[in-house]
Amino acid sequence: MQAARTLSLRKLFLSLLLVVCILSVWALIIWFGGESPFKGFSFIIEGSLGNHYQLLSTLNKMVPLILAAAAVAVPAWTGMWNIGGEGQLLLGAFGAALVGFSIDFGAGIVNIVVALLVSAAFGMAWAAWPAIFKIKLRMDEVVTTLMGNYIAAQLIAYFINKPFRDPRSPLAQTPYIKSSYVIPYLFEGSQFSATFLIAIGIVLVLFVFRKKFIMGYEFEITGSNSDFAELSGVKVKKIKLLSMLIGGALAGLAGGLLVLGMTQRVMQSFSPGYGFTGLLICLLAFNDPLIIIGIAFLFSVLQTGSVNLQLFSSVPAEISGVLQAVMVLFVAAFKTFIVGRRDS
Amino acid sequence: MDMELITTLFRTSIRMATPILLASLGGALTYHAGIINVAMEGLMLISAFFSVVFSYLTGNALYGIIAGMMASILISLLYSVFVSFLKANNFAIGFAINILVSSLTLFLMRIMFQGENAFNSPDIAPIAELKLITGNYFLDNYILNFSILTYLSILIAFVLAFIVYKTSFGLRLRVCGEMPQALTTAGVKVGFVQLCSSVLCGVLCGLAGAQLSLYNVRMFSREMTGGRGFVALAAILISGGKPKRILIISLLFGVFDALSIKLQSEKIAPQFALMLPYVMSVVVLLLFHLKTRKRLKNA
Repeated sequence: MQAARTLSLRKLFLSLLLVVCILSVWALIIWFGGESPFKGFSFIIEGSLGNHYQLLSTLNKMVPLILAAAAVAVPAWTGMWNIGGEGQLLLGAFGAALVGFSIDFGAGIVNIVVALLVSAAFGMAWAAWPAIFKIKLRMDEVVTTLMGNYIAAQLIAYFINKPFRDPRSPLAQTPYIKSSYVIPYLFEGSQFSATFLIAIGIVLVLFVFRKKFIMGYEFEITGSNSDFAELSGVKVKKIKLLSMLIGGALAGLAGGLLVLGMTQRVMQSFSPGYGFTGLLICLLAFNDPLIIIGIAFLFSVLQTGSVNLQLFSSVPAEISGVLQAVMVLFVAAFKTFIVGRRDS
Repeated sequence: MDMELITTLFRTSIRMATPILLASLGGALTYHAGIINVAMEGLMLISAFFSVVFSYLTGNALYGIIAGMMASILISLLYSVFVSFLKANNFAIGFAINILVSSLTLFLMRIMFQGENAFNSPDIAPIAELKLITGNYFLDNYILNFSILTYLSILIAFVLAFIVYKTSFGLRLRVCGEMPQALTTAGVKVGFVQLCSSVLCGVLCGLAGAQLSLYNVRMFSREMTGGRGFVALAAILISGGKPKRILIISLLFGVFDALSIKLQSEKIAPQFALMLPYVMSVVVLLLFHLKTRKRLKNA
């Protein structure tokens, strides 16, 4: 343990080598897309951090990414795999929209809180059945949560096509939420809103929960050695179930915040794969809430920057997905050498 | 129900079952070697893409299949290196690879064909069928005239059943999964056996992807595998990796796919038809687990 903490020259060298490797493969991919790497990188940086509107937009895009990553991380603490973030997020978004266009509680703050709670509950419900199947029947949660994504996508497609479709719209989408539900933008000309602060706040709470609370510790030991946890009196099944429910709630909340803070309705192709990007972020962050914020920022830079790259060159914006996944593979490869094989 | 409808359903079921069968046979090999393969989705997708590209460029489906297989083997080797030699978590790497392939295929499609979300062209040569018209309705519709990969896949199922349970390679494969220390003691490298199983898995998932994009449909579209890699994983978990059982379960999943396609033209909302294969894979998995739990309780 002591040896692992001391910063050896070898580790420093390997970490630098890792960064160089990632950057050079990124450069290669940009070059393959038809742009000189140097220009490509500068388009990405300019498009995401160039002026304060772009910076705000980059920060704003972090909101669903942070929460979708946390939705994978919390179950991962107890050794559960939540691949269903995408579906949970969709249901959460729908829950928030459903409350938002149909009910009014009078006060804006009450409305927003209720809508967000409903979105969390919807996401939680969608994580509950795979968790229960896993705990009661040992059904593989990777398969069930993943199937859940496809089922949820079709369910939402049905909802916005038939029973909850906006009658005045030619497209399949829900009506707009009432204006009292909208989380206001903080700066003119930007969609940046308090949703960012909410997301950061939640991650900080998770960090404190993990490090400072007894239950957080119970999550940890359940994940690292569930037999030991069971013997020490931890209710392993309850902890695992709880971690999945929290994960589902976080993903649902991501959907709710997207609706209240940005789209104000649920439409076709609502999520461009937030759930899976969240999974990648969580893998890179080794399930740590604080690192999630940093990686989410980097991914958001890549995503907003890639749109700019597409505008000014022949490189399609889908490049961001390739860059992200390549980074995950490189980090996984180097992790063995930098951190060691302890927790493989 | 009239005869025509049953025949159409049967033929569609077989057509849809073939990729699931091929992929789950491939995944079963790594399953026996001790790796739960979650990268099958990506393997099928990359093969579906390169099959279409090379079939389009050369006008020959065989080159398409070979290119798809090569790509799939390459990705499978990558997966295996991470899992067997770098000891990375197989789920983490599997999903990273799936997402990589999903965005890479889209990225390449945009660069190469300026396509939006799909690429199709009459120049894509499809996989040949076993064309034989005997005049007998049953023979013509139920036995003959399927994709050659369908026949190949059934043959492979029986060959694998033999290899896994009757040959020394099969023995090593199973020991590798069940008791890797014994294999090490016997002087066989665990990583090497896993690598071999991964190459074979790459071959089979490659065939599966080619069947999807060169026979079932003749195009490549974004994420066209649609979770079939995980349906295949469900088939492996249910069958315990036994090739003959996989044959039956894949056929069952093929039937659900066929029903889903058929129901889309009926009165019910198409979304529920599209949902059907996924719901049914969960249901089948659930029934299987309920049954095993009962058996455990009785024992």
